Amino acid sequence: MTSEDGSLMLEEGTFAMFRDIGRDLFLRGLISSHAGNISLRIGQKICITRRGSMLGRITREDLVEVDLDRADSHVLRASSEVVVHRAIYRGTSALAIVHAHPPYATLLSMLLDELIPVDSEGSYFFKKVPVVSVEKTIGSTEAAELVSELLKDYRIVMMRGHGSFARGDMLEDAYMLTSSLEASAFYLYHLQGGKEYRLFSDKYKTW
Amino acid sequence: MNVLTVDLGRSAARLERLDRQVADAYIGGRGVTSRILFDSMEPGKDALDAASPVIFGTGPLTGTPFPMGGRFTATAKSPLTNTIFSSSCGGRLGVSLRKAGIDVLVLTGAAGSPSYLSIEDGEARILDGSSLWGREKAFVKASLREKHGKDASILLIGRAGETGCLFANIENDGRYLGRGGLGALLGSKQIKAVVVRGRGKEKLRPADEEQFSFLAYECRKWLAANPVTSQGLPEFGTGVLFNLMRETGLLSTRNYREAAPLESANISGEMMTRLLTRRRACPFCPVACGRVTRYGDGPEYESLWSLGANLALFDPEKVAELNALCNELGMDTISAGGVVGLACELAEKGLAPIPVAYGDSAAIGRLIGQIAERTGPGLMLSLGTRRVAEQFQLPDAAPEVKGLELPAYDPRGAYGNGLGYATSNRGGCHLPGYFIGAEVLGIPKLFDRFAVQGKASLLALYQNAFAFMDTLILCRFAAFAIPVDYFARVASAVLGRKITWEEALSIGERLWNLERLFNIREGVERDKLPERLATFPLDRMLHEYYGARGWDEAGIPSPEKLKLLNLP
Repeated sequence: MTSEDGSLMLEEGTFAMFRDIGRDLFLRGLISSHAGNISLRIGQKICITRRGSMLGRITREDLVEVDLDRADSHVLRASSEVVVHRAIYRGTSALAIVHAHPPYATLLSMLLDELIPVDSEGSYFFKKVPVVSVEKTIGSTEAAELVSELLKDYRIVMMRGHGSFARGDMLEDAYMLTSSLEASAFYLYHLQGGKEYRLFSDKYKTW
Repeated sequence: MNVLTVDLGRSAARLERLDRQVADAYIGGRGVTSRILFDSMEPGKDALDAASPVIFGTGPLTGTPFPMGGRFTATAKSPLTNTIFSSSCGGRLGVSLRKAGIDVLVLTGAAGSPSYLSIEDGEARILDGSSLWGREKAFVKASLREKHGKDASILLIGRAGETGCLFANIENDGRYLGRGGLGALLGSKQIKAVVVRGRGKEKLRPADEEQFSFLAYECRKWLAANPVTSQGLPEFGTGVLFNLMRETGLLSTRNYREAAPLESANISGEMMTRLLTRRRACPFCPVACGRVTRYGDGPEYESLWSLGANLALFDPEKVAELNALCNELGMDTISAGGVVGLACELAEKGLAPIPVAYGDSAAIGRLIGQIAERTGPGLMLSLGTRRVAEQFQLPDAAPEVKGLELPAYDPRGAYGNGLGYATSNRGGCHLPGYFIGAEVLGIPKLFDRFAVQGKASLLALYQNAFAFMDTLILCRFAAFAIPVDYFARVASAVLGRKITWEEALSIGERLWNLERLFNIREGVERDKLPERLATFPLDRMLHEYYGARGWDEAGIPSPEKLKLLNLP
């Protein structure tokens, strides 16, 4: 839905999704005040949160439209991670992306090469979450290539020491994956020992 | 994959291996059969011409113990819509074919007289079917079982297929290739039935058995965890959707002219359990959504609407009787209910002297009989709503898209579903994109039914994902419970090669575009809805949809898109 000058016009429902998911990410403690970024693909455009915006209190002015295929002047205001978002949209069928800094998942990403859940919910949703390691963790082309490649086969990946990138059909399911991953990471971090209750859990690493 | 091609006119059969590149690019089921049809069908040929093939295909899951994977596909040019038309069925034919060493069965030509086809462990014979032609189905099945064995899988047409009713269906073991008139195709080839026995000793094994078992277990867990597949469908069948759709405002009556009344609850899935004698399951399916009443198979949700609420009939026994009549005569209940609904409107308005009225089950039953025989007003009605409405110069009165009568979900109450109808390659059908999942059931997540922005891209994604499912031939209901990214891993395990989730979606997209190319080649009309149902910004949604698909404004795939998908 575009205006006469070709810019994206967001329906109220679409804006509400951004506002509500951003708020939930902050309230849930999955991002700090000015961290994280979320986006939607709408046709040949990406609608992404503004660099320096506070996801906990998004306004319409905090949403920036950029081109799907290449950078344009709007990158001046777009999130620093727009290059990663663009790579994901161009390389996959994702329609929504949530990038967050879930504390426990980020902590574990510095200890493990893959996160394999032990809790029931995580076992259903993830089986395995790969961890990718890059030197320049913010807005680098290396990060963009590695993350987008993994998201061709996984729904959420971790960037070591930085945070998660989740893809979805809508912001809600990308948020769900992020939230659930953090819960799984919490259990993983705190569990000492534990009794296995699942069949085939040894196969999760093959996911 | 082994392809058995039977030329019914020359009584000749040949078995050959499918090109490996085709198998890799299209996997099986709807994919492989569509590709074969695209390559072998002469453009512009009439669907009922003897040279027009009908192609039955299995998928890599058919015959393995994967839950909800025991189905098969039939693909042809539909005589009703003139589009490419793939239909999937939960009967045992696919399993039997694979055990007989056949993955795809292609029928071309036409027998010289009423016949049936027997396939036993790879050998095909065209046998005299004159004693079966015109006979009731119970007799046909009993005769064939006596001759070929009780374990034979029998696929057959009813009277409607013999006479050439354009929405005649095909039955296999109590399940149906329901839509698109494929029964008329078999009838035009003078084939009453196809009987398959496969006693192959070799068990159908997936390439990576260990991984396959793991994935099958995980998918069963998902099916058990989801109340749709673990409670709703098993307990009430597809009729479980009925009350929810009426309460949501998606159920209509009287040819889409009014909302279905409260009285409709009398024929809901819950109420129909009073008539239930047993449940029916497709091969290896733990859900068992099939219903059998004392009247026979069904009725399914769509039939409860098309022959019930749509025709202002709210007596469960009468609806079950009409459903059984359609089954016996071998016609699609959705199209039958659609065309009778139109006939009632025409009669009501005094435009056509058809002795039928909403709510009159006896008259409706008689009319359905005439449609099957193609006598009296049945002759015209057997052509489908589009042609009937054209004859009366009332195009808006026909509830169809591309000639296929619309199913039970009113598009005015769910815009994404409406877009799905308009863009479906096989005509007005909810299955290719099943956006009702997102807009009503909250599967995978709930989307505002009346929202416009963003839905088109999502619909295209679902259409691609479900097209991939159809190459494996997984029941659509599997998507209610199992995340779609699982299906790529299932494919990897059964085929023995890595297929990423994105590659799976790309395979689905390739298939979707191939179907589109077929339709363009056949001159199928553009995407739209009947005017009385297009009460929302359909054009805006189509614009977004074509953009998401990489098509031009006329809905034609761009050269760049085709090159990316290695088409045609």
